[in-house]
Amino acid sequence: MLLPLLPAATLLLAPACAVFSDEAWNVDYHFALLGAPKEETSFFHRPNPSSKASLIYTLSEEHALGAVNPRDGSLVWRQLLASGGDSHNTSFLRAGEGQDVVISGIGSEVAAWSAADGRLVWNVHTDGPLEDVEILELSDGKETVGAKDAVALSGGEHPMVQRIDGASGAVKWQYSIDGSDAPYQLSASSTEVFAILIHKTILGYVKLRVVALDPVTGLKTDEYMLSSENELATADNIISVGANSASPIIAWTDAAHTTLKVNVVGTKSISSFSIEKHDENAIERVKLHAPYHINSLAHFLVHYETATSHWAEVYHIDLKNSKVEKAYSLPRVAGRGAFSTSTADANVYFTRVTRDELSTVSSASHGLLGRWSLSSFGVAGGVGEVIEPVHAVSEVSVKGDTVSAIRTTVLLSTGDWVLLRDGKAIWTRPEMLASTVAVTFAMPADMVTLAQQLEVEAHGNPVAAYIHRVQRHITDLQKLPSFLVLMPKKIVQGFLGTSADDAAGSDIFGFRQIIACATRSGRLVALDAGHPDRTLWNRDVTDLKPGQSWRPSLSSTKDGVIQVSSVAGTGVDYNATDGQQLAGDLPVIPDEPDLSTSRAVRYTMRGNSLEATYDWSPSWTFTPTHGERILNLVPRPVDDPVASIGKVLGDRRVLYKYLDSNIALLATAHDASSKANFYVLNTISGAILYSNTHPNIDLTAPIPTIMSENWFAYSFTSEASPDTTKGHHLVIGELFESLLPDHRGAMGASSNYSVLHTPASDPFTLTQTYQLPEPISRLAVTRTRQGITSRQLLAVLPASNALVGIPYGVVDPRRPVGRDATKDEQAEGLMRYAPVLELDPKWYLNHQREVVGIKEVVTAPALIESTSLVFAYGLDVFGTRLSPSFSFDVLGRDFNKFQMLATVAALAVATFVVTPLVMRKQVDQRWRFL
Amino acid sequence: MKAYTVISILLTFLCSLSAALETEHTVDILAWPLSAPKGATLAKITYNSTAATVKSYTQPKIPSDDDIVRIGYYHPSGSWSGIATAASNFAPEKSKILLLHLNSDGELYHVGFRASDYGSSSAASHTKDGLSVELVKVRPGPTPHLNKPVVVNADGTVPSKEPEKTFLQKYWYFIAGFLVLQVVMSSGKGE
Repeated sequence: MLLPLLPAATLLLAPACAVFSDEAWNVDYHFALLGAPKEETSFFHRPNPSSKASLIYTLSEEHALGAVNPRDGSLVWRQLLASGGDSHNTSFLRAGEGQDVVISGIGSEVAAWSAADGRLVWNVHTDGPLEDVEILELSDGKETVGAKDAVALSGGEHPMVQRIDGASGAVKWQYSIDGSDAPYQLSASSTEVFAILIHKTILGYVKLRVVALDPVTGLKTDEYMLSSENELATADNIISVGANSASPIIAWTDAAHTTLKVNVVGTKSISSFSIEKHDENAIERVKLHAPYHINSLAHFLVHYETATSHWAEVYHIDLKNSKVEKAYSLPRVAGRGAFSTSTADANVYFTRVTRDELSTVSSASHGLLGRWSLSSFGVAGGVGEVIEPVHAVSEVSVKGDTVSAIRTTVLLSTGDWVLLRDGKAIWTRPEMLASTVAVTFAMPADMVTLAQQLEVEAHGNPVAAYIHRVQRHITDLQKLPSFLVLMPKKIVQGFLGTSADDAAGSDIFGFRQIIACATRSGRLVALDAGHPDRTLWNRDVTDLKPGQSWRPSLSSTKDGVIQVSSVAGTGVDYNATDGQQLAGDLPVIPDEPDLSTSRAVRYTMRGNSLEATYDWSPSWTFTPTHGERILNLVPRPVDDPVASIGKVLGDRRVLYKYLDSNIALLATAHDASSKANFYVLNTISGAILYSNTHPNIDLTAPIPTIMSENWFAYSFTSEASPDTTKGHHLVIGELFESLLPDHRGAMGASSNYSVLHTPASDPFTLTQTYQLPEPISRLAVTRTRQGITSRQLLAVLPASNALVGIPYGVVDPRRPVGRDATKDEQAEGLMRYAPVLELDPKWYLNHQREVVGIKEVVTAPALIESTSLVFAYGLDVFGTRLSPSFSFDVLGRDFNKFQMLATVAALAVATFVVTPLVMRKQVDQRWRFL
Repeated sequence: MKAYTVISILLTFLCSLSAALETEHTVDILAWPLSAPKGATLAKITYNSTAATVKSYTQPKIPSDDDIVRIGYYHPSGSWSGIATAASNFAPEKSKILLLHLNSDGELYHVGFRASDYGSSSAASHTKDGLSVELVKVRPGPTPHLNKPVVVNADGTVPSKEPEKTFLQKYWYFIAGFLVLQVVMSSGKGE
């Protein structure tokens, strides 16, 4: 009896579950990124010495320290390290063999982190900036079984070497380096610690000074100068100073890369090798790869690179007489390559990654232990771009004479970080997105073409439009076969799928826009907002020198086109769908200035003042008073549609908004009196429409500002004062034409006026302040196609690594203060003012994920009115789509077409079955005795 | 004691008076047509933190092909601050208002300009040849409207509420009215 009820019960349960599983993990996406890993600070390491599982550790160029699971590429933990703001930009990450901590060094801080969960174990600050950090691997048997100690070399005014206790972080000894030589690196053998210093000779050359220290007492045992003669012009020519090996070495070349000199640290003899030229191209780079373990064989590999090819040579060190000998060489291969060193017991293996091959050799002989061809790295590149490896880290396990398993993580020239297992790409991490500097949304071109064609038909004469339409349909016929093939699938999906599934490829809602990200390394990366896990294309658009940075601005001037413009260059257009450069579409500046542009008022920030030009001659100027500096200027967005010119009150009267497309919010700071001033400017005439000043502001805290529609918002952190409370404040100001309902102020309803001829009377501004539980570092606002949907204020909360969407109604400055809302106000959605704005957990767009390091949030309208696309970047990349007024024009995911059709069918059947019964019953009723 | 108070009040008054006189500033407002190489003085204005007067006004000479005029002034540091307005606004029949934006220290930081066809009655005393001047002080920024704190007694206890009125105290007039009504009714019946 109960059995038939069971399916019915499950049917009832299914919708109940749908209430809880909302769209949280479907419409939004998040990449927890680290930034491009550095070669010298990336390695495989076992967080738990007793288990064999290892993690990949890296300290990236964005100063993010983290552990990545090699199985699926997920982030295990991460810590953002402050670089201390110095331009030095050197960072170190070391892990001792069999240790459960990793030790990082950045700026002037040495810190130990638990390898398994990333918790801080200890940290030590040095006096000067760190030059090197090493882990002391002593083999004299005297060391304790526990944590291994670290040695740190710091520069600055008093350079010194410090030995730091691995368990507590206490400094065991320190040795101050005398003389004016600049500290360069540390090197540790099993018996001694060497500090390598750079000594500048009178002739301008550099020489290497080596100070040998006793690791137990920290006393100097020896000191000597290496006779590098005149070939070492700068410290850049030092290739490597090996550390933690049986015999650490120093290697350098001359400036022209013709000879390689190698010195085993601790000896004074220098072995010299001439570098053979393999092709006509000059050698650009020489790298040295040596094992990092004290018990490993004393072998190393030298990697030569020219513009077109690379090769390598393997050298052996005879430990008895400290002689260096060349053992074998690896052949020249076109393109760039990456070598990595891995050890197993005493054996050393070198793994080579080239464009199309992965191979492993033992350091002892040149026979290949394993070789895999790489068909692709599984990442998107530019059109015709050859993706090349930049650097690699490997973990090799060898059984007998063959490699039984190999895992290699490779940083590619596209910026992706890829793990190859036995030659197959297992996962990729788009680490290039961590250095995103500019972003724009663009509609895909194929969506646009149809819209354009329809436009042509709408505006042409009827006959031409008809011919055009027939032609369009004929071309569409070519797609018929593929359409027919897809038909059954589409029908099944139409019945069984939910309405929000857009797997069919069509994008009628405009959710699948292309997000173009410009990275600091000069690449342009395109993501699909609908399928963000897939990079559409990724191409190099600039020719940046190392260390050079660019500040591009991206825009989508017309649909399907992305325009990149640098500070001093004209814009270059790219096709949004495939990244092709549209050479023919380069903007050409017309000889005759266009009337529409030349009449425009343009303004720019020059020095510490705003200067505007009208007709190319200077117009208004805003110069802050002495001691006041401009923090930022946000104009109202160019594309900011507003559906209603007024706010309808509860009694059906209207408050008219002050809508002017030429207004901007300017924030300035007066450091001496710690005041912040905010001005609303008219950007045509330069007049001030509204201004206010806040005293006792913490000017070191971020002061984000935003302007949209007829309102502005800003946030700051104020110190305690008699006037206000200490804390984080969010101020909202709304501009109205008049505060009297149904009154349009002095300008009336005149549709045409110029602020220059008849300056409109100032707007009436309502402001309100809310106290926030935490600071806001960035403000943004949602945008929809026609501006009918209410807006949400997006705020980045750096303290909780979150992004919140605050509905505008909650911070409305018209909320009644000190009394409950009247009926009319309630009808409008206003509620009683509360001084503290509690951030509702439902507003957190990131849900329980930690979105770290967000610097900027961009929004774009979707094709349907209810929805706005949001994309946040900085370190992490986070995107979602928002419906501030709920999804009123699209069915939700939980709408089940099949269920609805089944219900209709069941009702039809039931009607059909029941009709005769009812008929008979009615007839029977008639025949009953009345 | 009393004399002391009087003297102190007098002194304070004098001090404030002198302070008010001291903060009197003079500024030259320039009108600068776009094509002109440099600006010409439009008005000399003296102002303090509460009032401003036009000392002199010169009708600007604007070339006929210029339709935009900049109005501004030079900061003490020598940098220019100004706005743009239409040249037609300087027509003699228009009434013109010059706005001086003052910051919280009473310092001038920006100017504004307004012209209207219909005569404006405001600040007529400051008018000179159709130019009047208004001061716009920067507003203090909004602060949160905090809830009223609970005031406690000296010993830290919350003050007890006033004792509520009894039923009789609250509604005695109803009872009185009822009684009066009864009396009136009964007297009426008696007749």
